Amino acid sequence: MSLSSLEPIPPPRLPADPAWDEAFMRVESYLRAHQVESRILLSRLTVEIIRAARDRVEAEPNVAPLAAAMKEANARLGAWFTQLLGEEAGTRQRLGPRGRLALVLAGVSQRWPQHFLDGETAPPEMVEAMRATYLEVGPEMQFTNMAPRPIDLGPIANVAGETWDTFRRRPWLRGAAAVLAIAGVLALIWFATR
Amino acid sequence: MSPKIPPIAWPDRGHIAVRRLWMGALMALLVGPAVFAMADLHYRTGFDGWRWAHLGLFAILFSLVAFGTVQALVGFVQRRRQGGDPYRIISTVGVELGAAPLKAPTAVVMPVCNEDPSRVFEGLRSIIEAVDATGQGDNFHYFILSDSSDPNRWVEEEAAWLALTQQLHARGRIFYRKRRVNTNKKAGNMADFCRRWGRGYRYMVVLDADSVMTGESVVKLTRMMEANERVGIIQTVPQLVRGETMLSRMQQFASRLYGSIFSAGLNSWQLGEGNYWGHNAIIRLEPFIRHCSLPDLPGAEPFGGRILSHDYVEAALMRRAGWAVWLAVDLEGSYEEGPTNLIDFAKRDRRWLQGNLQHTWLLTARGLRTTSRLHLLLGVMAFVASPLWLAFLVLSMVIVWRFEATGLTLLPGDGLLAPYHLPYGAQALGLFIFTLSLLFLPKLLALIDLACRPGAVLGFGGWPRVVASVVIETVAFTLIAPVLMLFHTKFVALTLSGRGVAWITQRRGADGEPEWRETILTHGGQTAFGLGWAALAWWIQPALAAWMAPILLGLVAAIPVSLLTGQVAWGNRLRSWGLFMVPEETDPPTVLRELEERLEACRHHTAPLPELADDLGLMEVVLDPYVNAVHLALLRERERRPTAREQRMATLSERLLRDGPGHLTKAEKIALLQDDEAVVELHREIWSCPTEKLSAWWQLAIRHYNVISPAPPTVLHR
Repeated sequence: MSLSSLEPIPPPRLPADPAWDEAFMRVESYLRAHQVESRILLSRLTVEIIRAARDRVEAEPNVAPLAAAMKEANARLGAWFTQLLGEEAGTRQRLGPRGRLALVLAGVSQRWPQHFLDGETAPPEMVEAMRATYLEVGPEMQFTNMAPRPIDLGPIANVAGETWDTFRRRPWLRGAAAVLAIAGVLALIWFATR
Repeated sequence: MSPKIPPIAWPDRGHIAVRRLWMGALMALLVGPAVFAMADLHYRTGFDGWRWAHLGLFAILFSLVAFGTVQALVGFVQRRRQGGDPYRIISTVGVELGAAPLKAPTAVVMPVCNEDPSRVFEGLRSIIEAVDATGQGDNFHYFILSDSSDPNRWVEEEAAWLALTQQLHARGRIFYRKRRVNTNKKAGNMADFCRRWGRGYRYMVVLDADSVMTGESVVKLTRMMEANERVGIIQTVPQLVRGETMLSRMQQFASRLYGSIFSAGLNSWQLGEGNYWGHNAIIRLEPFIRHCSLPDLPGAEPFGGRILSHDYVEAALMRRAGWAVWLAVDLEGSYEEGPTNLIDFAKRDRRWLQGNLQHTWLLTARGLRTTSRLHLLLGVMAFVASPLWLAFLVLSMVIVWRFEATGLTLLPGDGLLAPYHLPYGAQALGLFIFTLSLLFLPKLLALIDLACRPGAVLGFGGWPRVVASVVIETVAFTLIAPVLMLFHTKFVALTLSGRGVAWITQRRGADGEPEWRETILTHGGQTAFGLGWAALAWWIQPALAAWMAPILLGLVAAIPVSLLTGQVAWGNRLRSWGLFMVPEETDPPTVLRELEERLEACRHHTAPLPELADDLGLMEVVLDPYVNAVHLALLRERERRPTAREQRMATLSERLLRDGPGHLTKAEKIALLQDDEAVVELHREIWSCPTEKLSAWWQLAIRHYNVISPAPPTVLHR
């Protein structure tokens, strides 16, 4: 077999551009944040997303590579969640959080790591597990009235309360009381030192 | 059908009255002669206004000492009598009922507020597993009721709750609730639970963030409630555990060794009119909801306003409604942790003091039982005793000073019982020794009680170590007592003047130890006060300084004592010598052993980068897709938000990403975390934002998720 019989290596479809490097790294990091640890899977998914993003940028040159790539990543995740969870999973804005919640509650990254972002071959038990997820923060509420009720503090405390209020409302009275207290202490000292 | 409970003959009113009369008589036997002896001393040197005031303070302070001693004495007798005290709530649960299934829906609630989530959730895990191991797990639901105001703690709690629920396969059994507004603090948190879910449960077991209970104790508490239909609250006696510093080890040793006779004595006179200490207790929810909602007090905080120490008041209100409140003495398996250093100890006391002083308003409230008033009064006196003690000491100095100023020689006249009196000096010394005896008698009784229980001393490390621990603990707490006296006096004065207490920002070492700066700034004033006081006492009369030496020494040595007793290393050393051991250390119960192992494993988890650690929770909510989703799921979804709010959130989000979390206040971070749309947007925005538009903090945070290592080093490029 001669070298000439080999098929030529196709030129890379991905551009050698720092902006696309950044986009690649960001998408890869984002997928890894979903606890996807397989390097092969990460690379494959990232490349697919970047390729799709590149097509998008070709159609819309004003879109930055990073924004296009993350938009593509979110679109793919959204489509995957819709496929697995159904249309009723939530609005477009809430689909992502709902899908991610299903992933974490069903333990997809631990139990079916190879099926991440794979709608075609997702095992039925994984789909079932994701659909069955919900977060129960409390049992059904049964409201009761536990409003604070007044308590009769008795005559002494009531008088004390009224006095307290009077002092609070009248600063001059507080000042006078302070002067009296100081005078009392001075008188006590005088008496002690006689 | 609920199992048949053997009937228990509860004491009738006459029997209760007899027990209390005995207590009163014993008190009178101790207080009467002492006050008479002091009055006699003053009489012999000539009564005046100062001496009358001195005598009054002596009577109050001595009564408090005598009350503790009598309680210990009665407790000792009850513990040593054949079969123990017949009137204990624990005796209503027969052994034969142990395996009967519980059918009393019970909520185990744990209010938390910025505590370490690892400790909180590992403690709860231990409790849940222990309860499940009894076979009664289905009877219990668990609620973490968070009032955490630290955004990072909030997020960590959410994540820890989810992890715990999944790991224990306990979905639908463990619940998490975070209040948006922390109205009325812990009492409000509990009331919020009662309003939402209280009707769904018959009982509520209240825990603290550091509580641990064995499964058996939780089940037994529930059974005691089932067996006693008119009981509203059963309070356990939590043992202090997991002490690492010298102070916390001394506390746990003292409470474990002396606590049993005090609690037996307490139960002996209060019986079904006990108190509630706020946690490690079980509450019957229906009467609690109906009768125990707390009123506001006249005036504003700190002396008035909302009730801070809700527990005493709730017990009083429960009693007012006719429900019994019991102390479950002899119920093993209820634990909590104590403060690790003297400053934390004082901080905790400050909270309690403010709460207890508020109870003064309730002392004369209509409808409360006399015993409830006594509980409230004792709570107030626990802290007011400090300024009274200080005043007593000051008066003592004034009396001596006034006498010294005359330049006369002490020539006391005839006493009140002349000619049957002792010489003046001998009588003064006798009174002093009598007072000390009352202070030390409970320790002696506790040691005798320990000796009467075969093998029990081994749980404390054996006799030589027990005796050494008692001696060291006595010396250490003698030095600490005057420091606490000054702390309490300051807190009382500030509370009464309507001011809170300003604290130096607490900075701790890795193990919760106090730092030099904080310790010096906190205790410096006390040391200076002690030195000044010592100089004054010496100037008045050197003998006076000698009499006051233990107090003055405690104040002068406040800084080293505070540092030393707060050291983990010292605590570990004492432990290695077998000092301050408690049975929970020599033979730890499963629930504590497993907790310790899990917390040790937590310590070995990968720690976050120090630069990111301060805002780790916020970082995770924004960056981590799963944490973000869980947080969102726990937030209330808003229908629409006003434009002004939308703009504020947009501005905050932009600042957060551009400047980093260090440039936002805690309130701003909380505001962002409480807004569902902002949380969604932040997650989307940060992953789509070009690196150069993100702050250096976020750039570092994102790098965490990258699989690519830095470029390999090469000598070709320098």
